Amino acid sequence: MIRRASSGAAFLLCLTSLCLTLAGCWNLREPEDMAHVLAVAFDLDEKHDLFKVYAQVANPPALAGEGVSESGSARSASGGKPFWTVSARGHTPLEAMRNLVPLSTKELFWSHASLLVISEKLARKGILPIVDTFERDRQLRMIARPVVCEGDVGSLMEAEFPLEKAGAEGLLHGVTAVARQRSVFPTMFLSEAVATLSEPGIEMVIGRVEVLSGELKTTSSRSGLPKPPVKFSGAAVFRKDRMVGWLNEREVRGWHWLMGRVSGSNLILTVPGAEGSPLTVEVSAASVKVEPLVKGDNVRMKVTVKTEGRIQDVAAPEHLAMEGETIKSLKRRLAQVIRNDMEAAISKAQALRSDIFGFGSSIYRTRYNDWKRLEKRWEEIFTAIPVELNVRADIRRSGLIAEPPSAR
Amino acid sequence: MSCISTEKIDNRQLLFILFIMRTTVIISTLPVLTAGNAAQDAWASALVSYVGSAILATAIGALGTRFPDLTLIQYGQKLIGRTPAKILSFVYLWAFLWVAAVDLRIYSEVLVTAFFPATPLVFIAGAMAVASAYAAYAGIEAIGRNADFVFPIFFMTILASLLAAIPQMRLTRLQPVLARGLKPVLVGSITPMTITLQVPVITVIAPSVLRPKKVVKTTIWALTGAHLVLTAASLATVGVLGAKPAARSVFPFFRMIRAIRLTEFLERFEALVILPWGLGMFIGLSTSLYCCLKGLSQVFDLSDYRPLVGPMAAICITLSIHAAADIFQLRSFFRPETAGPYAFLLMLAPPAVLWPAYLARRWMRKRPGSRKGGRQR
Amino acid sequence: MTLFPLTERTEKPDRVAAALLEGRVAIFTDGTPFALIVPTGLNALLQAPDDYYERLPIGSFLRALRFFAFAVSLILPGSYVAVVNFHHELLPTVLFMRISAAREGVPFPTAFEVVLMELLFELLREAGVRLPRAVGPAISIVGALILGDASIRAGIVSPVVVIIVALTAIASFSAPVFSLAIPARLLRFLFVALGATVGLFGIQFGLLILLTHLSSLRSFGQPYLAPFAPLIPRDLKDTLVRVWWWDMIARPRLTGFREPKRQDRGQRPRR
Repeated sequence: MIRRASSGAAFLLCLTSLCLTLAGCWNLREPEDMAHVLAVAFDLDEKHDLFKVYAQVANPPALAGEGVSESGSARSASGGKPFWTVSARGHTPLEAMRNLVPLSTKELFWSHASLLVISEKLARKGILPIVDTFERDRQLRMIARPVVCEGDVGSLMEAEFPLEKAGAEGLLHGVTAVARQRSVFPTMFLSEAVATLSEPGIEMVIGRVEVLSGELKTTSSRSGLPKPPVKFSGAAVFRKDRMVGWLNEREVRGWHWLMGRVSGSNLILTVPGAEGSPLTVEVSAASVKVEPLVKGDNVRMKVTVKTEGRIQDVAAPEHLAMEGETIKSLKRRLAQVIRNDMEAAISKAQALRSDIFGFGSSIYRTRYNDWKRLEKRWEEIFTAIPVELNVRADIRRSGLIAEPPSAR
Repeated sequence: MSCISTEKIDNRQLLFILFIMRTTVIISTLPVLTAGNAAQDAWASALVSYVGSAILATAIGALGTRFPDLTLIQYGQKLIGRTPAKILSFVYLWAFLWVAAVDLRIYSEVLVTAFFPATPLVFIAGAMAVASAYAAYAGIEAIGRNADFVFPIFFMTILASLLAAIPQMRLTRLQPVLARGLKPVLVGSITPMTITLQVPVITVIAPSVLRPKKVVKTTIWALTGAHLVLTAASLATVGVLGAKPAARSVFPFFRMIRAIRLTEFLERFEALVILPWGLGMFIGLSTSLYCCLKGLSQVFDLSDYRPLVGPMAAICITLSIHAAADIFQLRSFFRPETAGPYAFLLMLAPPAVLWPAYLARRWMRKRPGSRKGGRQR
Repeated sequence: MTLFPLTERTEKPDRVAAALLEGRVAIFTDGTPFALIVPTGLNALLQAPDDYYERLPIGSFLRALRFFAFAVSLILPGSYVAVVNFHHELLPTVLFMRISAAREGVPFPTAFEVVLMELLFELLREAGVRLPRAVGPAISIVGALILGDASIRAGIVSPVVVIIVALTAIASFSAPVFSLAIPARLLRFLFVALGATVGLFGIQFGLLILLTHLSSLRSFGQPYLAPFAPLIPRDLKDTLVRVWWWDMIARPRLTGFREPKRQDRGQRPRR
């Protein structure tokens, strides 16, 4: 019986492998026949009411660098610019993407697109069609990082960065680097943003990339230093899927405090006793607790932030003894600065009528029955919601020196 | 062909087979999320459906432990007579074939949707069915060994993908806990319970198991494992994607994997995670096919089931293609109100007939004066 | 019918002695320097005497490495073809760009390129074995240096494929029993074909057929994949890794059942 089974195996193996090879290779794609999109941007063509897509396509031989360029004569010709940006229009995001095909010499492949740029115009009109395309398509990924572009999308996609080969790499690295040291840009995956979109009582926030000048060629330095091409700061505030306004750097920082997302930030205080002299405190982490206090229709929020900072520079005019009262006063000042950030963010959000902090969500999550009652009027309630801000900020370290240097 | 009757597998192998079978199907569609509207309480549905499935499994398997050497087709004949039993056993034979076909369809759909959009569905279903049919041909012992070999790979991959989800999980997305009452939870638990339709395979495998009296216990352990995985998977999926985006997915767990990015180096690895699904599908499919064939050969008093393997595989492929016209039908079929009655009817019809017959016989035997009856073996 | 060896052929006395102590049988025949050891299985074929001569962590590491190498020698070229032709998203962007750049200008499809290089390598190996020992190294110089380097420079094959083929070759050299390396050499081509048809799904299909084949295979009554399938937990002590000498109390269950005890308990040396 063993022999029978084994000969059956051999037969089957031969038959099916023959079948497999003969049947053709439906989805076989040689890598060099594909053009890999590194970043994708969507804009709105208002005149014709069409979606406009920009794709930044990699040129592997130029991107991969010297390692392979010397081998093979055929390859040396295909050097040149490491990426190519192309754009097309369509009635749906996908049609626009497919309309790129006649413009390209290779088949476009979208899985490596790790950045999604949305233009301000499109964001204001609503981004649900884009979200649908991203969720549905098998190549596009929800691990792309979304950004909203203030300024011309085309020049953003054409931007060249001094330290990067491909523009998309530069944008992607910028988006992640800014999150590590400064909390002025909400860095997140598209999946996170979309989860927010469908959760009750919380609105979406997406980071802003500002195009600094129309002239993006960093090499064209006529006088002095070349201008950096873009700036990662601030955020777009959404109501449902439509953008309603911007947050500036300070308000985004306030949003970070309220969401407990601060992972590094520097704050300027004034030196006690010498008002006007600045002092920098760096914060590397913070925790937040948001408690809704609901009594009938009377809703208040209680926010407690805890954080820890270290003094990074002091510009004191005179000797400053870092002890006792000074430290206490510094802690108070730090807490006040943080509170100011949060107040700025809250009043902006209330003005935009968009609950970006998830106050509603905190009610929904912990007091479901109250939420059922308040849900309908939440936008109204949010605009006037009193928020009690408690900040506990400690200053624990002072860098490598304890007291500022003094000249005699 | 004398060795067919002496083929034996360990209870551990049966446990692995059942665990792999169930986990694969349950995780691929995550019915607790997609079928009901339990949303973030899907994990509770998973636990409720565990209780239901365990009860169902007991109802299906317990009678078999009274006849440790016989399959359902054989002891059915003792209880209600030859012809009625044979007709009754077609219910389970149909269930085996149907489970195999639907599993095959779901798996092929995943592949065609996410990896090979230009490849015909029948090709993928066919390749999988051929591999499984070959395993069914090799016999239950080979299937058991396959399960032994596959289990560590299968389990480790699922575990790894769940662990990989942790950094992107937000537990707040699981709140409010059970706020909308128990009804959605209960409704959501029906579809996973219908997948217990796989469990009747034990009524055919039981005589080949080393300790047939413990088959029900083995089954329950397998269900425990599978439902723990289901609970963890629904927690992870909701935690990563959010309740609504998860519920609108066709294959939520798969989409969760797609949304994971650990580092620049470890992202977009769903093609690797799909592989163990294939292994699981292979084990499940070969077991279902084997049971269907073995049962069929017993119904028709054939000495060997092997000649039937080819035709049965062909039927299975055809059925899987025609089971549903499109993904929408497949999805709507798994709604509790459709899948529920159908699966429960199939699952419970044989025990519902055989249990009374068995109890009546035992009662008759216990009565003084009746000498007839008694078990032959 | 199977490609896999059902007997173990060896010239090494220590291998024979160890097999006899495990309750297996060694067959000696006149006129050949080889002894045949039966029954055998995948596990036995991947064991090398050196595992036991070295310290435990080293021996275990080498053993695990050899299992890994066997898998690599079987499916690496096929997986490469599958990933590069079907699963472009699986590789990190930078790595993929490198591969794509290296393929630029290569006239052959990946699968053909891999098969070509594998065949070339098999040819070199066979020629190297047949030649007298003194001339053997010349073949490797011609093969590796001239053919390999020149074909890359001429742009006929991509450097990545040469790396893959070399890795596969090195992996297949690590098999302790020559006859186990041969089926891997042959099946490799099948896996390339499968990988070029439906990518990793094809590889998986091949592995499933292979697994079922091996599970139904017996060598003189002993399941080929034992102690993995059927799983014999007690006998896992000498498989992917090996345990301490003094913990190997029992002989393998399937061959040593007549006298299960190998040694007394508590043999661990005291300090």
